[in-house]
Amino acid sequence: MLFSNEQVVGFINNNFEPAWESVRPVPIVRIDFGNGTVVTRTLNGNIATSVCTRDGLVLDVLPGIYQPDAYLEQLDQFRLLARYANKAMKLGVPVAKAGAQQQAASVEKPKTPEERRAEVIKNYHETQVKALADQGVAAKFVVNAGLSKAVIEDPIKLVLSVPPDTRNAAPVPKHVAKKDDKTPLEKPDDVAGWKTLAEDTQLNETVRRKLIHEMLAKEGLVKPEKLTKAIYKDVLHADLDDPYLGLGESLFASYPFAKEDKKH
Amino acid sequence: MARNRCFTIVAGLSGLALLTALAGRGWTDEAPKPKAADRTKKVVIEKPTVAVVAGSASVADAKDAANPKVKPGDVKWHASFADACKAAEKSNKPVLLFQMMGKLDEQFC
Repeated sequence: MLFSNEQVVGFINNNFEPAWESVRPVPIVRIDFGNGTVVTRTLNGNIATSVCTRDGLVLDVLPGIYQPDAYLEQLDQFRLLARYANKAMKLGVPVAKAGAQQQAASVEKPKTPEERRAEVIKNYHETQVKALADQGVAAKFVVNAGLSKAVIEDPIKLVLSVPPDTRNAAPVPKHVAKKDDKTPLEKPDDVAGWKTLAEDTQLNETVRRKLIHEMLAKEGLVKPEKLTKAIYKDVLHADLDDPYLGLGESLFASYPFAKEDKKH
Repeated sequence: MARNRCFTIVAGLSGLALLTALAGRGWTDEAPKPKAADRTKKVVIEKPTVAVVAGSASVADAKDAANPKVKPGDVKWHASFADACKAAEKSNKPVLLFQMMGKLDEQFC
């Protein structure tokens, strides 16, 4: 669904070098009704989208499934994050901490570009953990220069700005389709499905992203394979080493022939 | 003349007998010819069928039928994460890695 969306596809193709990989086979359920009718569904699958540096180190991760417009928004943030990290390597830019007064650039002992980048990214994740814990929403990259300046100077003058506290506001999910939306939601299932995706998106952007930022602040810049199992187990609740992907208890709890099955 | 003719016939029959014997012994490198009763099965039916199957079938076909291959969307995916990183070195773009259970180029994923 996501990768047939024209806007998402165009954005990815223009701004990233994309690759996909399978972390394990997906459980498939087939119900054969015995009259030639077979229904096939997947079970308990989940996804993770990582933005990585050119040398293959993870900058950030989107856990789970998103609505297309929210996914697009996050991909744009990923694009800006990557440029921010690159800039840190070149210029040793001091990181402006969100919500705090701008700290004067202190004289530091010279660091390698990679060390500067690692420090900037660690700071980014720590800032996000704090923003999500205190404000309930993540900080966003914004381009901090006027249009004319942006054209001439390096436009990536980024500052993490924390949005105002919205916790007291009515908790309306941002991406839930409204009645007058162009999205055709005629059948009850369509509405339910769209609402479920909106709720998933909200969960991903709050609870799950906070866990991701905590993990990445601790791990630092590492290759994706160092993080995959932990992300799936601790954030997406799908232990890749569990042959039943966490469903064993549900499957066998009251099944009368569980012992016999296990023998085979 | 009659003698020559006789000799020719005998020689021909002997040669034929010799060839038959050689074929029976597997003297040649080729597999023994199927008997006349087997030729329809082996040569006419099975041989072309084996050729067609060998050319088109694969071990994965049984699995493919259960989870058919599909186009993985319209994104220009690199073959691997490593390939994407190599491309990123040249293009200066970041790498986007999409991880999932199952395969993006299968219907059920």
